[in-house]
Amino acid sequence: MNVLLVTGVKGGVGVTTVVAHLATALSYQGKSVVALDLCTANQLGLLLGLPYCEHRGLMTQVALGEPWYSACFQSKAGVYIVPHGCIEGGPSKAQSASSERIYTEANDQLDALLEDDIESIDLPLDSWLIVDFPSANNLSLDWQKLLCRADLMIMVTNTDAASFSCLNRNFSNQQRAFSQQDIGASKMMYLVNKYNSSNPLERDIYDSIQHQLSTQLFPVTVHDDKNIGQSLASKQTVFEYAQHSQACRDFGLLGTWLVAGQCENQ
Amino acid sequence: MKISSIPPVSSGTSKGITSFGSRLVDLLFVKESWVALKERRIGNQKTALDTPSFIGNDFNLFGIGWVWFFCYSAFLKPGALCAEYDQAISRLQPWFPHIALRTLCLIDVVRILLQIIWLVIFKTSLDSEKINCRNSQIEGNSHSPKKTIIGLGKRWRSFAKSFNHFIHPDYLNEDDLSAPDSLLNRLSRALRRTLYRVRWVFYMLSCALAWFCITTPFTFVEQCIFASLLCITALWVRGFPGRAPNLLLITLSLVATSRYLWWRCTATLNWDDVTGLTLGIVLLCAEIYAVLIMLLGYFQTVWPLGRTIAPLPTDTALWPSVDLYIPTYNEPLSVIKPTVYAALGIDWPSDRINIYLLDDGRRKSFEEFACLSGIHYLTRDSNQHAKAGNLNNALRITEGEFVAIFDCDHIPTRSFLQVTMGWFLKDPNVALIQTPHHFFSPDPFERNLNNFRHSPNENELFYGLCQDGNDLWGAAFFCGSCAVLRRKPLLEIGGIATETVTEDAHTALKLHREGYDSVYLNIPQAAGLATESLSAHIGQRIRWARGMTQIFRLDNPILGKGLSIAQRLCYANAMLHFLHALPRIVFLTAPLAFLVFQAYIIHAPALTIAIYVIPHLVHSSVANSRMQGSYRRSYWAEMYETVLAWYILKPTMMALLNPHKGQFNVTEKGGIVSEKHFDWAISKPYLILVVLNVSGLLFGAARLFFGPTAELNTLVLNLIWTSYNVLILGGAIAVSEEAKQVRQTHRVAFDLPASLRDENGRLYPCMVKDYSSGGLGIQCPDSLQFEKQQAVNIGLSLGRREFSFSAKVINSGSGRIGVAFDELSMEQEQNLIQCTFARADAWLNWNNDRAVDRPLSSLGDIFVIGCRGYKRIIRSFAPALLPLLQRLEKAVSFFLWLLPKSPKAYMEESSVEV
Repeated sequence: MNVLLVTGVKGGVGVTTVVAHLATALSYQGKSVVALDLCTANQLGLLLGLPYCEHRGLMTQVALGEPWYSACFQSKAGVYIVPHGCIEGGPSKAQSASSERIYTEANDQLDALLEDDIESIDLPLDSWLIVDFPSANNLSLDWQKLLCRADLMIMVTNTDAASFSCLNRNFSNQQRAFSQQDIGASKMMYLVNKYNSSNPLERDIYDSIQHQLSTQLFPVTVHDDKNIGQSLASKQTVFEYAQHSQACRDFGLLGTWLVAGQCENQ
Repeated sequence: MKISSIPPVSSGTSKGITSFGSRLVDLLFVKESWVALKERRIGNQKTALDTPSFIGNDFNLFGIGWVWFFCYSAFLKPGALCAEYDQAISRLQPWFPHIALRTLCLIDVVRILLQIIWLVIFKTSLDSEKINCRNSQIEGNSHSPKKTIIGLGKRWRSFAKSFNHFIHPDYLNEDDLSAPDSLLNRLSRALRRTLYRVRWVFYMLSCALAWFCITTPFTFVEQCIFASLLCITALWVRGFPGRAPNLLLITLSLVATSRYLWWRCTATLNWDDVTGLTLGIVLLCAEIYAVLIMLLGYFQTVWPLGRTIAPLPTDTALWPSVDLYIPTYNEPLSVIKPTVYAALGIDWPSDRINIYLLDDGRRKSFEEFACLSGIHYLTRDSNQHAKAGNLNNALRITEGEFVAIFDCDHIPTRSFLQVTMGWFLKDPNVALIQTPHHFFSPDPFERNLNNFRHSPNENELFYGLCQDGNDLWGAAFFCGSCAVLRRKPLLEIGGIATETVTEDAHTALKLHREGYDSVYLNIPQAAGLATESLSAHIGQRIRWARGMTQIFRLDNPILGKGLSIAQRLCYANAMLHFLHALPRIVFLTAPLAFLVFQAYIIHAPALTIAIYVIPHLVHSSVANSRMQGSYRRSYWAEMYETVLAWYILKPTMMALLNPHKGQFNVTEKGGIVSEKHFDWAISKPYLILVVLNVSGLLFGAARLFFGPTAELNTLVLNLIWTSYNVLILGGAIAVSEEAKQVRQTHRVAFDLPASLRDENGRLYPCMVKDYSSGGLGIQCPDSLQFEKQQAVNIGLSLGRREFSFSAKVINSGSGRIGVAFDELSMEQEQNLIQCTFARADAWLNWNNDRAVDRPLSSLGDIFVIGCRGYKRIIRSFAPALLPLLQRLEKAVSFFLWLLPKSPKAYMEESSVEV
């Protein structure tokens, strides 16, 4: 199983969007994909078409003492979704459980998922696990197994001044933090999201990011395409909403790039 | 609706013949069957060539009846009939590409018969693979009786391959004589050395043999046999791949031509008739000149070098410093801007490239522009020596190790220096690297004849073949732009030459005399504007012709010192070539001497003339078509020369007599032809020649009926010659009709991925199909709808960078929109040029989809162009004749419509449409 961790240099750069669409793109390319949400905001399910009131997820099920796959849904495109789950709005038993116990339990469950490989949902060997990972700044050590097992860490950034400063300030910190977790620089790639080339500032920032990161930057850039926002409003991914859009092409390219890289590794 | 679904209407009681008759009648006249037929007819008409309207619908009724009767009596069963008929037709259709077999009319019977006769006699193979891959239903073709002949063709090709392999095993792979396993290298060293020592023996033997071939007098029949043998050999080898056949074709052409010339000199001068002798000697001199140029041409282009790029060292610290000059005199700023923007984007270490705008016009606006865009601005007080003086002035001021020169309208690609500079570092003796001049706008010939990018333009022979051929002999010369020179040698020869008006070629000549080498890289790395009008084009050529003649007089390459023999010959060709004016006019008027004045300028029986001159013409045509065909179509040279002949006659003659006279005239660029018009002033000399030739034709025609019968053959020969002249002159006139130029900026067709952002911020990938500095033509998904004046944003990529340009939709169709850019800032303009015109690959695939040269079809093109010229004359001088002309045109097109068509050609045509 290929494990991709997707996280942002700061909040709000569009990590969940990238996870949802990348998972859908890979799914359309005929791959089996599991999209796992580890962010407390619990937005991934919504982006992939789960109903708004659905509060079940990894954490709630773990708190209830049930296996993770009891919170596994499937999207229209065939992506298996494991949402984070919404403990506040969930059953009282879940709410009463201590958060520490939940994390420990969840970690164990994930180990099971990663190790004896998914017998429960019958996935092929070259399937993909894409994790919506909490931002590096509030990285908790709880997900150590996951970090060790990850094939690639995708750092999402924007080309605005805030992201750029975060990227620069935390660049060395992040590298250090992740290298302690056995994630070397080679396992970490940066992805520019929401790039709008008509803005001179963004163009300049993009140029400097490119200069700074060189090979650590994805050759594929996700453009600022309003189709993405509109597709969410109609409860679809952009692949269903506007199949000729640039966003579809960008995520499609990103998927192809990852699949090709995986083939090369093998 | 299928015919077979028509319910049977027979009465039921009648049998045998009666039943057949009534069913036939029913089938033909029952209403439904007519409706069905009509539907099929409408459906099918799109697939075949249209029937001319004047054939009329009445014929069709008969035609359909006839075909039905035929088919019905052949198969008797209406159900089976349709299936069989359908199948038969779909199998036959490829063989009758121009006939709609499902909807025949009466006249089609004639066309079918003609096509069958033609197929049986001429058409030996239908390119079945091609058709099968396109239309898998008609696989039956490969099982046709013609398969054996196709097989023969295949065997023939494989034999041709092995023939080449036998001559030189490497010709098939690459033209590399030094390959280790070539036939020569496989021989033992001693044998090779011996062979090399005794090579003079072989040369002597060959010479002796050639002498016999050329001078042995033959009787008429013997010459016939000899000529046919040569001709068969030439036609046999011309299809072989590789370069060895070129050598053979040249040899054959040399033999035929020398034999003709020998015979002309020894047997055809009438020493008794003074007029005939004088005119005869004039014609002979013209012919000798033409043959000389042909020989030099063969020599020059016998083995184009096809040089490749020499890589630069990976350490950019070793890359030398370059000064980039953009000389300008009176061109508008809009022409200079793209060049400067592209130059700013050239990939080279920024501390080692300096761009200089050399303004001889001393214009304030140019100085400001240079300052704003961050380039250097140089000017001087006088305009002495025009462009050469301008460059020399800059050479005094700047100090880069190399000098790259671009005419102000030549837009360099970003890779220009990286592609070229390698050769300087590889070989320190190289003083000059020249790249081709490429034009993205149509030249006057292309625009007025409407064949832009369909066939090679006038320049291509020189830049595609001649310069590459020169390079083999170390004689590639400087063409004034798109070139890099090493400063040191250039200063040694005193800078750019100022003695003549073609400073470029003269500078190269001086460099070669000093023993420096030149390099020609046949990779278009810059592109510019072609001349805008025929008069400007002729003005430019006058300057070239005068300048080259001046060099020939002042610094003769044949006599001066320091050159190798090959270099002398190449330079001699480049210069003598421009003296074609007088011989051309002699050829255009020579047959009149006989037709009008009855002077026998070639004193020999007509048939003998024919049997000597035809091999000469055929062989030179075959050899030239084979060697030059992809750079210039057969017979087009004649038209180019005819257009120029009159105008360069005086300047070249003047320059020959007094080379110091005359001044530099600047070629106008960036202009616009606002209205379609006919340039009478330019075409006056051709009109005079036309009048002469046509009156010659009339004289000849009169003598055909009233003259003595003994002269008949000579008369016919001269009439053919005159007709050809008339045709070529018609072409020259057709060129003089200046077509209107629709756009202000030239659009370049090129596939470029881009993204399109609409007003709501939605982004869509799209494909730019053509670009100009003012706008784009874009292909986008059909589902997108745009309205005129809608604002959009176009994103173009340059490597990994991306630029965005705001624009307005100016026209919108299904899947295609045209956008015009809004006011762009200077930086944006620069980005736009670098994303489009200055791309490294911008001009590389320019000639990709071009058919090969076929001499006869090329002659057909000339014929059509010539006719267009005469139509233009008639429209202006005798409008009363126009209706007659139109009727004639109709008759001709009807005749052409009747004629058989090649299935293969049709398939190619339809594939182009697809």
